Amino acid sequence: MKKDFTFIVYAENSFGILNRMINAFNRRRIRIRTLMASEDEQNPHTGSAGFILYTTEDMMRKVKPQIEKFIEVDHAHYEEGTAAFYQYLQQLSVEK
Amino acid sequence: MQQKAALQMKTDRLDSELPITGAEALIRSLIAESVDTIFGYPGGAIMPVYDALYLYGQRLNHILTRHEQGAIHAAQGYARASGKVGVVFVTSGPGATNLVTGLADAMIDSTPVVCITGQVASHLLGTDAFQETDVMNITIPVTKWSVQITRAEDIPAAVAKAFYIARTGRPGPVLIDITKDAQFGKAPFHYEPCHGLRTYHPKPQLNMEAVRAAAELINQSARPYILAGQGVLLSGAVEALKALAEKADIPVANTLLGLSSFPADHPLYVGFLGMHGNYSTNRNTNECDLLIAVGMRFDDRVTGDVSKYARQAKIIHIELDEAEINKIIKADVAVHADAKEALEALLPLVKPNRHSEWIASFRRYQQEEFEKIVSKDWFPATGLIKMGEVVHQLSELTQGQAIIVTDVGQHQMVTSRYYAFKRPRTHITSGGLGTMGFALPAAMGAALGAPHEQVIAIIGDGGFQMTLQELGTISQYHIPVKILVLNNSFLGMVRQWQQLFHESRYSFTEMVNPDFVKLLEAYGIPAARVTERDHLRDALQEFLSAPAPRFLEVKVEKEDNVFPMVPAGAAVSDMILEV
Ligand SMILES: Cc1ncc(C[n+]2csc(CCOP(=O)(O)OP(=O)(O)O)c2C)c(N)n1
Repeated sequence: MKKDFTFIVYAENSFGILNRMINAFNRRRIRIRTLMASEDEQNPHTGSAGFILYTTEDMMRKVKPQIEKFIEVDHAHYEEGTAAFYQYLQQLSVEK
Repeated sequence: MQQKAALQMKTDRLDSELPITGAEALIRSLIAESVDTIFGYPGGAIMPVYDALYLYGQRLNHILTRHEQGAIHAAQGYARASGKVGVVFVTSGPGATNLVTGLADAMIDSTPVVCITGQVASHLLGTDAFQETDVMNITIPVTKWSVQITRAEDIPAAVAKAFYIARTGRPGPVLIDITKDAQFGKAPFHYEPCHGLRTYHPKPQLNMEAVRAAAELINQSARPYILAGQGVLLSGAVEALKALAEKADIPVANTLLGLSSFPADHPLYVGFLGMHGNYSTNRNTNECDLLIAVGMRFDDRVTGDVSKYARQAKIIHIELDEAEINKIIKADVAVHADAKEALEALLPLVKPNRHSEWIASFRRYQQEEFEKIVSKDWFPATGLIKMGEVVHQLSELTQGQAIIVTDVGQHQMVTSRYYAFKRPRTHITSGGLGTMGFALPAAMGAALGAPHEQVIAIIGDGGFQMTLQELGTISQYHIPVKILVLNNSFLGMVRQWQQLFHESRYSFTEMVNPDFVKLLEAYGIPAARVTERDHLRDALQEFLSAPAPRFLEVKVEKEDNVFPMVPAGAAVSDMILEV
């Protein structure tokens, strides 16, 4: 069953990495409902991206390692629902 | 450690305090990476690099192919035969876009190549300047990593990173796009090989708990079955696999890309998997009680209907790429590891065993397949020559020792079935992408990557005509490949499907071909044609013993089919021996 998931990725801030992530979702026809990407204030060589995705749990399980295998990606995690996405936004605004 | 020190010494000698151009820095970086061969095609945006290359002609062998697709397939063939990284130079715009098929092929078949594309000057990026194309975005989905360089001083580090990424972990293609101003720009040169990256961990820590769980399943199993993929070759696990199979007496089958990872004459070798694989290997997938998948990814051509695939069995999946684990087939025990490391760790934990009755069940299916199909393919009494007898005789005459490069189609499946590969890395084909036109350039690359081996390209008349301009390259550089075209005047594999699944409506699959022998003569490559069975063996013998390059066309039966077959969407156990 499809539902909302929060998916957060931490990565090096390099050209193309956001495209790689988005491609991975598009390729599997995963709907991106919301996207926030941001440079790390302290270290602009790194950054993170938060997504609200509408898909199945099985798809989340399969797409996570596909994203983690991108060279610049440090790690990713996901959880059901949108609450984690708003916590992530809040954290970003505190850091800023 | 010693290797590292030697590399450092070599790179020290290349270092220069005096600024050198970015183009020369690229060439020196490649020398520091021990590159000896480059396949490429020049053009405006990469001219500074070619100019620098001119000065280093003694140290780097550049092969001018006749098309950029030929260059990347050649680099793939070079990489697959040698175990080294293939290198490609092309210009911007159409040069870069002509790489795309090869990148996709290398990506899906885990082949390490580093492609250097020239790019317009950085101030012209995004302006639709002449031959400017957004190569970065075009190639993102088909590269393991890519980077655009706009400053000369960034070139050495980018090259170091590119080689490290291409060859480590699950290998793959990498692209470096270098703007023309970066090629012309100057900077002092210092080369530092890359040995690690913060966010990239190519070799996972072996989880001994998973290894112990796998050993336990193997020790308990009455009908264990090993499926060996290309990961075995890539990780150098051939001996470790043999040791494990022999100790626990486990039959071994190969995926398409895994062919040559287990000797075909070994008593535990049971054959080739998948849609046009062997009868026993597919049938017994649904009869084993334990499937041990090593360095393979359960491609749909292997699994058929996933919902009916090995449901009765426990599954052990040994795989380096975590994204492949549980992607298609759920593993009961997943060993996320390098195949060699995992197999070596398993070996002492696995008990010696015997599975004679289980292995005999493969032999019974093999006998059935031999009677119904193989004997007719190898020893037909009447009709035109069959692909099966050509490949069988070639296998006998070369004793399974040649490097065989196949294209895509019926001849590819027939070769996979009937060539008895005896040594690792002797089978090169386009597996995942199924790229027609792959074989001729890939064979060129293989011949340069493994100069002491006999390299034979086996190609259909359709695929041959997709990249035959590379005959010019073969002729110019006297590249010692043997080219065997099995000509059925059809796009054979598509015609077979039309016959079986579209009521013989041969919609645009018949081909009117040129006189290939005359064509080869125009390229200055000695060529012959054989049309009759009585002359086949002599023709093959002459083809093999004559100096390379050499060409042989075999006119084969036009409407022959490759059997057995798992019809698309069917279960592996529903493989059909005939219609
Ligand atoms: C570039 C490309 N285009 C189309 C196909 C689809 N295709 C798969 S096999 C095949 C027929 C190949 O014919 P031929 O090269 O003559 O070999 P044969 O099957 O007769 O041995 C085709 C068209 C493909 N695999 N690759």
